[in-house]
Amino acid sequence: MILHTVKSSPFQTLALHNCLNLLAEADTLLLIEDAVIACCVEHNNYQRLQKLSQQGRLMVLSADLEARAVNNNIGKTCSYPDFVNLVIKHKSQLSW
Amino acid sequence: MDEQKVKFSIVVSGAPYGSQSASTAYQFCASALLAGHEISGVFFYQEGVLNASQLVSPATDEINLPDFWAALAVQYNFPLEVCVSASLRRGVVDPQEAQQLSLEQFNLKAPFVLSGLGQLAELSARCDRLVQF
Repeated sequence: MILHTVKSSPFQTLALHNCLNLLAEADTLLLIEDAVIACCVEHNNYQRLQKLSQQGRLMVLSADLEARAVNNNIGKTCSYPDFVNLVIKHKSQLSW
Repeated sequence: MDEQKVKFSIVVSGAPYGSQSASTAYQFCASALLAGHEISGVFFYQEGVLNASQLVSPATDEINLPDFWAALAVQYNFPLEVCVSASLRRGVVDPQEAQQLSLEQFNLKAPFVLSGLGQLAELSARCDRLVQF
């Protein structure tokens, strides 16, 4: 049960793509920093994110959405205190 | 586990300027401490060692991340460990290393301390959750 945090845009690196390939059933994905854009516009892995979102396993850091003046179309927004609780809830965290 | 006090160790591998990860790490630490949790220590690695330079001097209307780290560490009494080999390669030097290497200056900010990967291993063993940024 891992909390994966991806911080780079899918238009910039393969971090999101590689992370999705290794994501296990019980894992959660949290998008932070430039990666929040992955919840706002379509890209190669958008459908996979949509599926995760439907399962309630996709989170987006709201402070980073606000900093970029974008809104998420999929995923659940979370605050820094929520981020802390997500880390506690999962057995470990993995940064991509 | 949500209700009880959790011990976090933090790994920062981004510079204070040019990447966002050090700022994200700082905000995570501040939120965790506000929620009543504990930070066992923060380990600065790779580009993250630049957070420990006392020469970082951003414009006055920007935040000074090294100052913020130092203040938080003093207020909540946790160590700021900096990887020594990553530091020396990037020009972050404490008085002892400066003397050993015959350098005229040092620039490690207090209360950051130079340490090694062994310290990271210890930090990860001493906490409930290790978080990388």
